[in-house]
Amino acid sequence: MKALDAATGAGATYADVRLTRTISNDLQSNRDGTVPLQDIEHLGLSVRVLINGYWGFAATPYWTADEAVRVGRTAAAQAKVNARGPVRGVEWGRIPVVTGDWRTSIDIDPFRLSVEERAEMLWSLMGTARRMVPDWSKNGEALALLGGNSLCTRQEEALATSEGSYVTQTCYQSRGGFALSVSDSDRYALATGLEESGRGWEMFAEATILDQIPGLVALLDVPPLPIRRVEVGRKPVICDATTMARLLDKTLGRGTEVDRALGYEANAGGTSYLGPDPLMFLGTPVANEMVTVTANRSLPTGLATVKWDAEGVAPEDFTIVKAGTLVDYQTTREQAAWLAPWYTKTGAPLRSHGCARAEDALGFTMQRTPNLALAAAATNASFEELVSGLADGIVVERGSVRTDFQGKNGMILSGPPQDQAAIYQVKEGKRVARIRNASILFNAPELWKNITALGGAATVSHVPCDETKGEPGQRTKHTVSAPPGVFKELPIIDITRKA
Amino acid sequence: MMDGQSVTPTPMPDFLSAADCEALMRRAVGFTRGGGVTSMSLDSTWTGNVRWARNRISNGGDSRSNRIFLTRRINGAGAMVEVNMIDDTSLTNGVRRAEHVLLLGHESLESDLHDAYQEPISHPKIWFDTTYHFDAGQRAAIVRTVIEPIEQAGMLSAGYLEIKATGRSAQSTGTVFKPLYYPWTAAQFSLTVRDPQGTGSGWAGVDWNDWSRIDAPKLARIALDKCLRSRNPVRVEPGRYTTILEPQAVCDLMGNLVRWSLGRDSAETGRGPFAGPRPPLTKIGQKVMDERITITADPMDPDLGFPPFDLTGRIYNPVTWIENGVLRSLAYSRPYAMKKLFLNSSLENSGAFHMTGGTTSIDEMIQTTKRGLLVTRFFDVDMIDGKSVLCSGYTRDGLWLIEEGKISKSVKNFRFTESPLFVFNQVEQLGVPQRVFHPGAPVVAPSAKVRDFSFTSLADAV
Repeated sequence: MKALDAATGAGATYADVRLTRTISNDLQSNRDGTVPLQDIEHLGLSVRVLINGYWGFAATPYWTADEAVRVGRTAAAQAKVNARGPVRGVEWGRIPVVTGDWRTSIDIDPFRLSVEERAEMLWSLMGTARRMVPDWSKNGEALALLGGNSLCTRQEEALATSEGSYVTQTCYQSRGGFALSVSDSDRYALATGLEESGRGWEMFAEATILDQIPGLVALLDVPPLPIRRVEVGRKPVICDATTMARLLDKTLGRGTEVDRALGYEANAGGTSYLGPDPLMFLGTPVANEMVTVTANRSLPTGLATVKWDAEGVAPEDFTIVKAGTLVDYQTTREQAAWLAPWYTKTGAPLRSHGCARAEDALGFTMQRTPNLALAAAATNASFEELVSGLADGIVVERGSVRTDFQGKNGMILSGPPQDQAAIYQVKEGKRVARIRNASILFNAPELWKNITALGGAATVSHVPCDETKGEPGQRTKHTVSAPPGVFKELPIIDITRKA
Repeated sequence: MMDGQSVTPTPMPDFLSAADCEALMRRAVGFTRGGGVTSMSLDSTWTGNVRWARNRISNGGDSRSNRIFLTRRINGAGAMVEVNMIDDTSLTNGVRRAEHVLLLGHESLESDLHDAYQEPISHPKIWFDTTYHFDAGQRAAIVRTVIEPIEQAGMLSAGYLEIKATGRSAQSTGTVFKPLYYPWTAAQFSLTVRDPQGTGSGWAGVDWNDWSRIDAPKLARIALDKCLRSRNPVRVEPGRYTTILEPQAVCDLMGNLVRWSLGRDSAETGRGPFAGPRPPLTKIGQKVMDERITITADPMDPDLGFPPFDLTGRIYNPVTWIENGVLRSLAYSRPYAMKKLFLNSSLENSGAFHMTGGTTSIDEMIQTTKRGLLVTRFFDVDMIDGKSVLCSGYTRDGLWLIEEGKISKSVKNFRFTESPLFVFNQVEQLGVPQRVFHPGAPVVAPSAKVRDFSFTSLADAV
């Protein structure tokens, strides 16, 4: 409160103070024992101030009363020198004052257990797993057990605004790794349920790793498909749910960040293919009618899930693409006003979508990607059913996606084999070969118009994604939910072939 | 919600001084239990920055930050924790956590070898008061100055100015270790100018330790000029082109090679581009690129200038990676040095590099080109194949076609597929090396005119 008083006393029309304490612990189990790879504790305190339409910011790791006052005054002084220039309008609007405490819905706080307890649990899990892996020697090959690591993070945050809001939140994120592999090969089978998500230690305590082992062994027991070089050409492509989530994230996800569209990130990650004027794109088709994309900060295990954003806004779920038509962008309080003509035209309320966020209190608040969701088809089509309908084409599993600086042109690549990623050639509904060095080129507007089928609700995966944005760069995480998808012909290239 | 923190002395400094770091170490050691060795290494940084977009300052900040690594080693078992606070409670908790978890680890004779060996450090001049005292008012004022002509030209700019002062410290109670401390400043300035319709984009940027060496108005003129000349690009066919790479593009391409491919251990075990015909042979002594190219990294290089040791206290000694096109050195760790080379110290790779060039200006390169492309910079350069260092990425913020010795038109961006090892064996001309934009690991690079650069597909993003 001293920091807020210092800022408002110095003439701020709006100010907020954030405090974060972030702790993170990474345990790795190997044959010799379980060792911590990383153990981090970071504190942050920052003040953000708005004076005459200009922002000022100051941050420190030191939590003392004097330092809080200094930070408040420094932020105000920053805003004042920034405001010496021409007029800059900020429509700040009004939001309900909020107070309260919220935490990610988890069962076991990892940091309430001692590190020895966690290490012991992982170690015993790995020991049992090791005994369960059958002696499996064929042609000199053996099964190796990999991973057995756990990374848990807890971030406690307090936010106080000059409007009277005061909220505290605790967010948890966990991920693990457990895989079997055939020695001296690129064949891996990964246990599921350990993907990064907003969960606690129950991810490991309740893990079904042991139950999954027979299935993982069976997966590796199948003779591997032959590896072929890529045949360059155009083919129908089926992407699994993970690849679809990454595609969505890098194209429509990046593209509908309203600050990117308007050029606020031009000097960093780039702009958007749905810019430079968002009002020109709103209400226009950006995808096939079967594509509906929503955003939320409420998915129970989502990596961007909170009750209030970094400006005290309680986010609502919102629709970005409705049956192929672009209907909204991701916004903060300041940014919502930039779309006012559209909201007036459609009769929608002018309100922030609650996308304000920073890596921690040492970082300036920006618009950040919420959790995204691509709606599943009404059918019950499973991934394998989609594949079985493919006469001649390509299947991508756990592919990685790269795009240019507008999210416009990009390519789908095979992820690393350690991620159980592969690109397959399919004939008459069956995978007949793994393809080496294949890449699928796409142009985002065409890609989303050329979708021909999506998987049903049961095929949706929740995929961890992250984004580095801003200057200095801040990395935040979010979850993208998507079903598998089928695309009309896309160009397949050999990534290693030069012009 | 938050754990109570004890009161720390006030006022806090912008960043920790040598005396602060030594006092911090003494306090941390005072909290240890059970003997053994205690090490502490840290970067303590003050940052002042201004960011702007659409010709208006969008944020200006003043931040303090610490990265403090506390390591406890007892009988060969060790554990490290990272904290950013310096109060007694945080330090005690940190030390205790490290001692707690080192019991989980197993003893290893090798672990002690990772401790840096005490050597004399070099003393580059990388602290500049002109940077540290460049205050918030001056930062905002220079930004307004560069925005004005851009706004008058009807264009939109976005950019970032940052200055930093860092104190780096490495200390250990190990017998051979004396406290190391080095302070330095860093400044960076970059901007992108776009036309309001989004059909043209130009960029310019640089970083130096000394703010007074950054000519912000000149960079702004370059970015504006590039934006105006890059508008309404036309499509040309992908293919192989004689290509003039501006120094930033050379850095974007060569940076991957320097960062990821200069490991001796990898090369000796058959990995990477510099593995010999069979392990443990390497390509040291062999010609790997054009003989006009020499690549060095020396903290004392007045055009480069970087701290003389890394965040764990490992010393950066001057090194020549490539001399007249011949591979001369590959980096190695201290355990490797002791086991394989019977040496006591590592050869570290900071990622900073100084690449030699020639004397040809970009204008002369253009005049001598019948048909080719001029590249401002690359984006998202990703290594596809570690063996050949084949990379893929995109051109960005200014790409032009050259015909009959003149820039004829702005062209749409490309994705490229190319290896720096191929490119820098196809050199026709090299320009005067200059400092480019590579914050954190300084780079000096020349412009280069090369043959047969492979542009693989159109990427019509602006």
